[in-house]
Amino acid sequence: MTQRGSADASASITDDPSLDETLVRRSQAGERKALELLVARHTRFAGAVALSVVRDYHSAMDVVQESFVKVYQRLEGLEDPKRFRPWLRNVVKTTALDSLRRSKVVGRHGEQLPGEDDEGGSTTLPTPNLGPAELSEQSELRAQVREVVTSLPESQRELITLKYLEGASYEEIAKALDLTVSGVESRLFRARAALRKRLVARFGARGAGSEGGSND
Amino acid sequence: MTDPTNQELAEFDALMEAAFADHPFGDAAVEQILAGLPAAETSEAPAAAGAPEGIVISPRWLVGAAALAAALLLGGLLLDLITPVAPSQNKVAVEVREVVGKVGAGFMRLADARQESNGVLPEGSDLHLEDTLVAVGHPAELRLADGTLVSVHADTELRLERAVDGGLSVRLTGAEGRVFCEVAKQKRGAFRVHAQGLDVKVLGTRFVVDQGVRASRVTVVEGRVEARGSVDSIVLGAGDQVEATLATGWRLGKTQVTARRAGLWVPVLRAEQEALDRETASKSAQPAQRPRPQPTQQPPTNEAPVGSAGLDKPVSPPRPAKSPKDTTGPPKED
Repeated sequence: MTQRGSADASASITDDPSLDETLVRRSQAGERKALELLVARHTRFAGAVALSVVRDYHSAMDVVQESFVKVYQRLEGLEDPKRFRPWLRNVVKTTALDSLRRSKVVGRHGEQLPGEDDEGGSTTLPTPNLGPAELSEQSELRAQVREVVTSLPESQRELITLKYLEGASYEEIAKALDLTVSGVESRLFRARAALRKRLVARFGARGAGSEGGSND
Repeated sequence: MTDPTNQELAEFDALMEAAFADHPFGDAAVEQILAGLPAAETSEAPAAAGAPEGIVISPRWLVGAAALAAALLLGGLLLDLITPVAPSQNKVAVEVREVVGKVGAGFMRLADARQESNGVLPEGSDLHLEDTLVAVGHPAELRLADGTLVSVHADTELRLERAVDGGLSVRLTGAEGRVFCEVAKQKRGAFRVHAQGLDVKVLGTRFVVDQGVRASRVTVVEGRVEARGSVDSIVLGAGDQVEATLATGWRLGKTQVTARRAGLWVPVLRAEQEALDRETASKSAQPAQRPRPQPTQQPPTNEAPVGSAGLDKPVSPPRPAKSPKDTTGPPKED
């Protein structure tokens, strides 16, 4: 995470990467409050990972809840507290895959669509005929966009959910996925291109002069 | 093949962020997860109690117990070393006196203000979480480490808190108050303002929150916020205003205001600050000191105060709203 201003003034409980290590150690020592902070810090991350495996928010939430129960039970065995986030990711993914097997929906999403070239990274696509403002007002549209995300290969889905649901930076994604930052950049570039292509296929292309709408 | 332009990328990013904006992994999820975890265990090492009667302890067990005790002791010492606060307490405190920004001129900690002591914080002092501050008698500003600017109306009491999703919250703790927020992009969680009967979750960037005894109100200047009343919630865009009133059981009532009108409060506030700075400079021998707020004057804009819907005593600075540099004039309806 980047920090602004003087280091001491901007040190944040959520931005401090060493805080996980401290919180894990305290949680391992049985300190409930530390565990609660760990959960609070990583619920969104866990949700993003879960949603990259299962189809919908409801299932993802179930996975996240079950995952944190496992974290509670197994945290003592985590030997390297610095690697809590990658470890949590594995727990969530395993839990999510188990959930999929139980519901017998493996293969129903995430499969490559025939004729698609997701690795090609073509970026000459037009902009999808959608705007943030429309999405913010129409939950059905949001769900449809997320459905398109679930049609991506799993590795790309995870990048997309970490980037846009969790709001993770390239550095954070790289740490969580054991990748280099440049590796994240290039993979995310391809994932975006693939997603854009599918969104255009689903919603059509918008002409030039598309609307803005970012809040930032 | 051409790369997408920055604008195209920004549009796409905004689109995808909007697609996931209603994700369920926020505060409520954290509470649900915590509620589903097994019951809390004590964080203290077991007391060195004697063995219960009738139980024979083998020497081997005693050696193991001694090793365990030594490990616990060492672990405790290490934990003390990395504990930021209260190392002397038996239980390791996890609360971190987190510095979240800097205070501008003119703030006191509430405890000091109540004691009527001259406890005005030096400009640039660290702003800690959970410190309750009051802008003593004139407008003041808080600059958060993430770049967010909170302009605080005279005599407003507030406290910075950290929500469970990691986002920062401003809680208006007095009977009346007003803040204007220019919110930087949050790395974690959402920025929120909590007023009486009204919670405002920031989806955009600039907005004003008024708190009164019988009403609270948010006015959006730019971007979007989600306002939550007692039973309902609504997403507001620029120029929207929503009021929650005691009379309606803190339900939300939305109205439209012009963005220009909504935004006028800010330059007026800053003009007041500049006037105050000049006044303070001319009386540099006199420290800024003021006991508890005595709000009696009109608010610095022509916009109706929240009192129109029940605010008993409009929040206002104790000096004229206009300054020589204030060229905005009174708010006008477009």
